[in-house]
Amino acid sequence: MHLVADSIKKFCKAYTIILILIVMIAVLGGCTEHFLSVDNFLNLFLQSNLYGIMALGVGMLLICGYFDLSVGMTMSLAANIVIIMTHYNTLLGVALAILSGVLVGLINGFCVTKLKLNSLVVTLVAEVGLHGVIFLLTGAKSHIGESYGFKIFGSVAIFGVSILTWIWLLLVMIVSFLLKYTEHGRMTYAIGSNLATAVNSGIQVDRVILKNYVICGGAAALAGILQAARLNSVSPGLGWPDVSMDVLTCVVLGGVKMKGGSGKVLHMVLGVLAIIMIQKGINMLNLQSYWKTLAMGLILLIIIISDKVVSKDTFV
Amino acid sequence: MKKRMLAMMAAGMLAVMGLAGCEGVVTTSETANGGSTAASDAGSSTDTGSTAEGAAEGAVSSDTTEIADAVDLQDYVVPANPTGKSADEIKIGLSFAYTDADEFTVAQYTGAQDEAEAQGTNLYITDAHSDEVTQANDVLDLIQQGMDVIGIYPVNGEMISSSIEACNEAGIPVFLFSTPPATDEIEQMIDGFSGGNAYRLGEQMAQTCADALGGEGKVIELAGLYGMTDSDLRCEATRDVFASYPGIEIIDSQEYGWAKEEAITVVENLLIKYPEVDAIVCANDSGACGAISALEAVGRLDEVKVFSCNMNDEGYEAIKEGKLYSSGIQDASEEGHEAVKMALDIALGNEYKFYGYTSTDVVTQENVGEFETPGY
Amino acid sequence: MKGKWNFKWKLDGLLVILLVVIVLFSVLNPLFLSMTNLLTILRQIIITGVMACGLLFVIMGGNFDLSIGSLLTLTAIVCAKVHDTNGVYAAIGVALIVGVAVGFVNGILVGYLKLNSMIVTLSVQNLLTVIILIYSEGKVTKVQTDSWLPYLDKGKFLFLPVSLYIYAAIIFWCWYLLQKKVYGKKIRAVGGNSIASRFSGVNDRRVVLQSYMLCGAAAAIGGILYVSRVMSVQVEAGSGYETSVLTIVILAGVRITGGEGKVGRTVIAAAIIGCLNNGFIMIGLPYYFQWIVQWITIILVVWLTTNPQMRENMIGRVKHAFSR
Repeated sequence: MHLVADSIKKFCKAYTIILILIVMIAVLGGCTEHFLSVDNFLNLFLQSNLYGIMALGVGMLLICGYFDLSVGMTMSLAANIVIIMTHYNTLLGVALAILSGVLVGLINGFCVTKLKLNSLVVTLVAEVGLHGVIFLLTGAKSHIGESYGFKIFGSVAIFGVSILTWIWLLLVMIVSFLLKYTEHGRMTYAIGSNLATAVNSGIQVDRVILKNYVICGGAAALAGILQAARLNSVSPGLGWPDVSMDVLTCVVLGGVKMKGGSGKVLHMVLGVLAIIMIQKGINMLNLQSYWKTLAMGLILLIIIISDKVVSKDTFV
Repeated sequence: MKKRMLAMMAAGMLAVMGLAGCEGVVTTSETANGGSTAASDAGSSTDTGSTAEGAAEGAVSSDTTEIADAVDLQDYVVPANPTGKSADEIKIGLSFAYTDADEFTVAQYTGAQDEAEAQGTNLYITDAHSDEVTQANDVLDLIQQGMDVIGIYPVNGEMISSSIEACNEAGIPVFLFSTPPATDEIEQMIDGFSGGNAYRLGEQMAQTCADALGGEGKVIELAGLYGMTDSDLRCEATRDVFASYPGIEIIDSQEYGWAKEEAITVVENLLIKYPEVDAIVCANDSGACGAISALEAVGRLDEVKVFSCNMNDEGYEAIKEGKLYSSGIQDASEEGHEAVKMALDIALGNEYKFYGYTSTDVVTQENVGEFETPGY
Repeated sequence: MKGKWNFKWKLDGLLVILLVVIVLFSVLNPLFLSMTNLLTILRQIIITGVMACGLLFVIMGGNFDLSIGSLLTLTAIVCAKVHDTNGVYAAIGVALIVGVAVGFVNGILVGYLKLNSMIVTLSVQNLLTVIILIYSEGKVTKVQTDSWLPYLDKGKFLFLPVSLYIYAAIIFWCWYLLQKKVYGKKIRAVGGNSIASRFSGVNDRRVVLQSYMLCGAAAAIGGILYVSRVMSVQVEAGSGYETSVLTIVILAGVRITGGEGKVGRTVIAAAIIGCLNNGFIMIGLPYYFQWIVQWITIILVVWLTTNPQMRENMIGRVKHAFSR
């Protein structure tokens, strides 16, 4: 009996977000008629796709102790590139879009590892700069996709589940595997827990961090391509200004610690689902929109305060 | 998947037909499970007696691109097709681009809620926080909740087509409000538009300006946000009107994000760059009042006339004081009321005008007494 | 000896960039260099400049404050509303109190509860937004009564805008606080190493609390100046300010992990951003070029100010070039 209670307590401590999710589902399920249906949850996964894929990259980086606040614009850049390229050659467009994400990841990673600049500064500034690049590239105009195949790709459903959700599931499994069973994953955790120790143990810290930045940029680009396929159109203002911060919020809300060294893929997924569920809940309960802002603010505070209360870091 | 393919092909065909411009096609809805979309032909509508209020055919020059092709729908009246439902059974979903971020939209949704209460119908409002992806998600939510009719105020006029398709596929009638359809294809996919006639407002403002300047002068344009359909239509209308006045030159155009502070900063800078300015045309009164503030600070309010096309409280006062030359009525509250009215008309199957424009009037120093202050 | 050179490079480097920007824009449009234009730019950078002085304290203490944008809006709305009911002096007073109070809350959460500053101030930003929406009822808050409030922005004293004197006073006071008073040493110590500073007898919790209260006060002053300039407050008035003010502080070469910073550099950084804003309009290039220029400039500046090795090499090479 004790063991069960203990293990439940441990689980809840590690996944405080689950409690919040349970409360939300209970409230929404009780107050609305459509919430507890398969359709609704499939919708939820489709709606969480954008943040979900981006959160995987941002989460991995956060685990090794670094930030990427430029994911919103990386995503937008990729989306803009691919839609513009559907006027010429879609496959090339997809390749270029992924490449752009990798390139942004490389630039950010380079500034952080080789130039030894602070990751917050680098990526914050990159976000603004990329916004300018997108406007330059698109001539400040929105574009509609011209590729029928691309549009179909975005709306295909296998066994009733959208292809975007399948891709997200695949990525979740890949990143989970990466973090748990590969050396790259172990090194990521090591760097996040204690940089000095990691360096002393001979880990190629720079290389690992750079790889994570590239993964983050690539994930953001992929997320952008999928949304471009789903909406079959793009605007230069896509993702500005809140997406980057929102994704970071999802990851932190889910339970990945800001100081690095801990976090699981489940945290990232649950964090995203929670944030999307807030918007969904506001819509279904027909509340005024500031309730969403209020909920985000309060839940964040609750999570980090409860984290502090529960954690073992007493030397503060 | 098959249904999706069929719907895609149907939408594609509609788009092609729309582009050919020979017939307007309006999809009507059937609310059966997985309702199929039925396309019904709309005959050419140039024989309807009354011209729709705000129809822009008169002053549209042949160079205007998107709106000119849709002239046949400007006057079109959708025939009655009663569904037998009553107002209190109906669920209306309105997806707003943003609600609380701007005093104009606050007045819109308050007006919508008032109208819904007055009519005894159920209104659901979603707020996309200016994010296109969030709006696509919101429309999915509304569809999933079984709305009888959905109205969309798009974050981005071009990016809304996939959401409209989703509504068509689900058999839910969908109309746009506040921001007119950005392309012909989108116009063909929706069941109506309710809101201000942004093109006409811009047109009226530019005409007032041209008359006031006597056909000659240097004009600075303050645009709301490039890429936003509302703002772009006003700019387009301005250029169309000025095209017939070779003496009028638009010397610069800057955007100010609908924020008065930004307008002050931008105009301050522009006034230094251009020692000779005759008029400033603005997308709304926030910008106009900002321009006036900057002009007063350097004492150039006498030589520069300021025009606007979307009145708010501050602009109303400014016209009374003689600082603002003219503005245009675009009553946000009325827009909210009209959106719900159109939603009900569609859901009940009443007859209604495809383009349900709200009133647009020019307010000048002479006739300002006839109008009331908008209240925001 | 080395220390002197480091200081000179940091200050001079930023000044050089400012001069380069001014020269470039002047060449492309001579009107840029006119007295009217330079004074206009000065007036435009005051609000962000004041807030940057406040944010400087928080950053030097090793923390963030993402709530300053919403705080600007809230204090501006409070100022505008109280102005019409209780007069100018009450309006300014209440706005300052609100600013310091919110700063106090931030300070307690970050300084005493030791919560992560970025997340906490993000939450506070959200909560402030809700308060703003309810308090303003979604409408524009206008100043209806007359007073000397607009003269802060529009009025001139010895040809310079009145608000410039306020900015100058704030700069001097912040410089004095950082350089001449003990608080400066304390905040640097806390920013450098919070736990070690405690061993030196610094009450790090209180120092952080004070830094947030200063930042809140600065945001409130920004709000008052905003009302003076615009005479009406939209609900989204302050949105984006947190990023632009943070950009100025970063451009000023302040180490984001805390421990050092100079007020004078924030002024130059604010001036650079102001010149870019104004200059791109003057030369007729669209605004989005500015963001790309900012990206490159900031990376360059931060790189040169955090990398002593590279700096030594550069100084060495420049010296060598001039000594021939």
